[in-house]
Amino acid sequence: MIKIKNVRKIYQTGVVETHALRDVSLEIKDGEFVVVLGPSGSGKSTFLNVVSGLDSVTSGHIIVDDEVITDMSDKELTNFRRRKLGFIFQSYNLLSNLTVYENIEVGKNLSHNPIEIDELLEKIGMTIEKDKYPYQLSGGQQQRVSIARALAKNPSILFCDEPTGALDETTGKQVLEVLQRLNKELNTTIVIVTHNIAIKDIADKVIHMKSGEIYEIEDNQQKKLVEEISWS
Amino acid sequence: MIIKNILKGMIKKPFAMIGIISMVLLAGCLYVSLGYTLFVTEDTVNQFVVDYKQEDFTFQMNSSLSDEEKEVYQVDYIYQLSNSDQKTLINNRINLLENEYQINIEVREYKQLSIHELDKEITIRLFTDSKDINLTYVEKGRLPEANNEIALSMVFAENNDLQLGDNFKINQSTYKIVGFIYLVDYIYPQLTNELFALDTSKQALGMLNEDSFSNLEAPKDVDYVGKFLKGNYTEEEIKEIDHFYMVNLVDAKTNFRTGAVYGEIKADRAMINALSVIILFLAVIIIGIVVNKSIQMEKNQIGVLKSLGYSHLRLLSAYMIYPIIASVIGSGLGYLTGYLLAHPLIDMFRSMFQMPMHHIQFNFMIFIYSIVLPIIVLNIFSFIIIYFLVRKKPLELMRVKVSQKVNFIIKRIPQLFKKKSFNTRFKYSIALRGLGKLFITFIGVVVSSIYLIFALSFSQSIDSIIHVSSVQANYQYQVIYEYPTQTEKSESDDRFMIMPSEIIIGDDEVKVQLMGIDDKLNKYQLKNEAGKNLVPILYDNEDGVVVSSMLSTIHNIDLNDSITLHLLSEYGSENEIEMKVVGIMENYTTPYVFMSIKSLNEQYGLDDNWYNGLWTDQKITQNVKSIVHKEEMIDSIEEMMSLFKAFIYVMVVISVILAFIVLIIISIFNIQDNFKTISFLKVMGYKDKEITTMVLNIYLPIILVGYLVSIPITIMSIRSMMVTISSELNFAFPIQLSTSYIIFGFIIIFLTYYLSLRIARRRLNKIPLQEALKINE
Ligand SMILES: Nc1ncnc2c1ncn2[C@@H]1O[C@H](COP(=O)(O)OP(=O)(O)O)[C@@H](O)[C@H]1O
Ligand SMILES: [Mg+2]
Repeated sequence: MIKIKNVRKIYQTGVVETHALRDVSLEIKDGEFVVVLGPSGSGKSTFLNVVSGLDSVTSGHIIVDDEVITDMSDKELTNFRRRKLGFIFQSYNLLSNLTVYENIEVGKNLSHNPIEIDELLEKIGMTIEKDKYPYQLSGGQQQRVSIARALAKNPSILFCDEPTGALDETTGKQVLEVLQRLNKELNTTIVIVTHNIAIKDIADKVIHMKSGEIYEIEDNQQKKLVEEISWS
Repeated sequence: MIIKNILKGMIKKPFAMIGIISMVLLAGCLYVSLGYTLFVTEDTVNQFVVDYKQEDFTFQMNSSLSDEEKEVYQVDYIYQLSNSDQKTLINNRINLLENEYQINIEVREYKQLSIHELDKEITIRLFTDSKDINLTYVEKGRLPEANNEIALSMVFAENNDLQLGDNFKINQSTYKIVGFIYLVDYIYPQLTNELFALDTSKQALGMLNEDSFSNLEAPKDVDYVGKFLKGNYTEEEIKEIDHFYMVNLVDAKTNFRTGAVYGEIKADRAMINALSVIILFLAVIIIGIVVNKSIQMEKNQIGVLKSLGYSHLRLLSAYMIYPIIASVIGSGLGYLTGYLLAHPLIDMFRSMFQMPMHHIQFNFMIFIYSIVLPIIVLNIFSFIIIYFLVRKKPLELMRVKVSQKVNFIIKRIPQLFKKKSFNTRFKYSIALRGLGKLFITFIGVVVSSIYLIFALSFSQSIDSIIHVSSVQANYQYQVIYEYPTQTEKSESDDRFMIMPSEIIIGDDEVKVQLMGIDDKLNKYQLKNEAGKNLVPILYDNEDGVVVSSMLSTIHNIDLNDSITLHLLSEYGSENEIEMKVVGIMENYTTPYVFMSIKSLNEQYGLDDNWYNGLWTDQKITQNVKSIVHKEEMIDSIEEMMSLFKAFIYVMVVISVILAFIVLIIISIFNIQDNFKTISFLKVMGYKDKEITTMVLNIYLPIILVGYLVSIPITIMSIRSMMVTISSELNFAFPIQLSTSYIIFGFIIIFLTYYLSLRIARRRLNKIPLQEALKINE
């Protein structure tokens, strides 16, 4: 359960103040599939960063499973991320000298009750590629590996910032499919940040952002499967 | 425009540049400081020797009379003559020698004594001013004119804070200090043969007027010093001087008190040359890595530029900014710091080699070698390396992910380290990704370790030299009488017969101390390195001798070798005998040859009960030519060794600095190369400490290997240089390196590595999390 109360984030660059988040409040339930939608510059990434403890808030509170992360020190935050969170970004950040298997190990290594790598490889459909190096994979494959890496430590929440941003429709949908399946099978809370409006149909909850504000929270009663949606 | 880009990058990431500059600086500073010191020392000695008419050689008068002389005086030895007869005879001899060899001979009389003054034991050797040879250099004040005036050696005065006008007591007489001086025949004031060390605050040279000198109650000694009339001489001319009247002839270059300075200059020069070249070489490799990195980072732009028609040369010249800046700033600063450092260094040298040192003057050669040469070397080699780096085809450069491809070694990792933990495999994958960095680390560690191990081994040897010299003597005093005696010695004392002799090795004659000893020794110990008593072996072999390890090392004398002894003495005959080496005594500082006292005496036509020396606990004073207190001897060895210890510390510091610079540069490269990885590991929840271990602390195995490799390299090179080093130093040393020293050395290297990690980690901690969120191009 994530509770976000009156969160503000102001970036100060020189004399310029950017209000990236203006009084944002929200609740996300366990196991929910959430999509944060908004145009570029609307504060989506900022939202994801502060909710996941990568960045500090200017004011307000964020509570994750009864832990007030806005009060935590850097060390506590590191520990918190380690226990609870997984991340996926538009760039895959795979380590080029490690094989697929070993890259997933980087994530698994952080946890006491990890998910077996072979199981994950099967779920992302890359069992055959497990000994390959990143440069031998396509972008979509690399992103799936990074999903497996994020999930290997069995996080309760997975944050994804534009996970399909660098992919074409087919591979992008493959990635989303994996996410959807994992949400169902592992009951992982998933928060996806995107500017791609087509993605909203697969979410339980859609959060619309504009100029650092949430202007609408939409509960999606008829969740669609990934194969049912299309980009344009 | 490319240059601007490169410059900006340099300012944003200055560490590599700072590292390269510091290496060039270190090399330059070493070269310049020692270079100037040696230059000034050499310049000074060359002029000092000429201006103050240093002796060309020194010798002792043969105390045996020649056949003609015997006919005139009807005695065998000089000391059997009356004082006035002695004078006439010696004057006749001098005249004869002067005419025969076209030389000038002067009598250098001195009195040496141990006094208690300034709250310590001081050994002082007193002279009177000389006329034509070995003139006195007056640094301050004047020479003594009145009775009870004294001039003292400058360095001694400085080290004891003595001022002109102060009083100085020798035994019961008080002298007023009127001058401070340097003596050209005591540049390295070695005051006894037994004490070869130099404690400048405890060893003094002094000058009295004729009256005070002759009134001073102390045994008088005489050196005969000679100089060629034509003003110069060659080694051959020295060798040609060979006369019955002259024994123990030594030329000034060979004589330690006048010649030691040349050996030191030679050895130091070789050391700084080698060290500076190695450091420059490392700097070149690091420049190669930096440029390669920067090209990798900018490879797209370079590819575009090249496809637009930029030539290799344009690009290359832009990247040459690295070596140009590094070499100009580095060698410039190196020259300056070296120049400043030269002043205290020269002062240090002056207390070792006591001369009126010249002021530092600009030296064109040092300037060229320290500034122009590094600039040329660094730039030429960097040019070659950069040329190969920018030569790649435009498309090759622009092809994406070129840098992400894994090399063949990394592909092996999964198989090689299958059983290893994830952390280990991760480390290897990072470490092996940059083979250049790995190589630099290895070379850097090997080079530093060689210096470190050399220093450690040397330090251990020194300890054991001191140990050996203190353990082997159970006596308090070593007494040498003026002439042989038959008087009954006390039961507990050991007697010996000492004869100055030579052994003949090839064409060379090497001065040795030939000792005849009894088969029962109470106080003296004749033991080999294994601690075995060598006296029985010596007595079992009639033609056997035992040599000291100093002789054995410097002149390559092994067990069972035959050596030719050239017996010459003030007492009599001169002949050659062949002897077999049956033992090597552990003594690194004295050129001893031992035989049984019986066979030695036989050579001189004396029977068993003659001897001229004692190892005893009594402080004997009658008829004594020299007496050495054991403590004094050990002190002197320790003093000498402390000089080398200082040298060792300098080596350790240099090697640590070198290792540190290399390791810190490599760590920082590592952070730069793995910037995104580090950031992403942080986002995932890895702690800074864990990341340090995974990304930075990856070179421990290679450091260990580098260190271990350097051990045999060092030992082998010491061994191959042993003869040279030992003859320069005038003592031998055992090559030793115990496990504890090896571990100690590794701890030093390890701590250096750890320190570099600590510093690098601070940079690692500063890497923001957001870096991972940025989009890959
Ligand atoms: N580190 C930062 N410093 C200053 N301004 C920032 C920073 N990060 C984001 N911003 C600004 O905050 C606003 C929101 O940015 P962001 O959260 O990245 O939007 P989105 O992800 O929706 O495109 C933008 O105007 C952006 O310029
Ligand atoms: Mg964004």
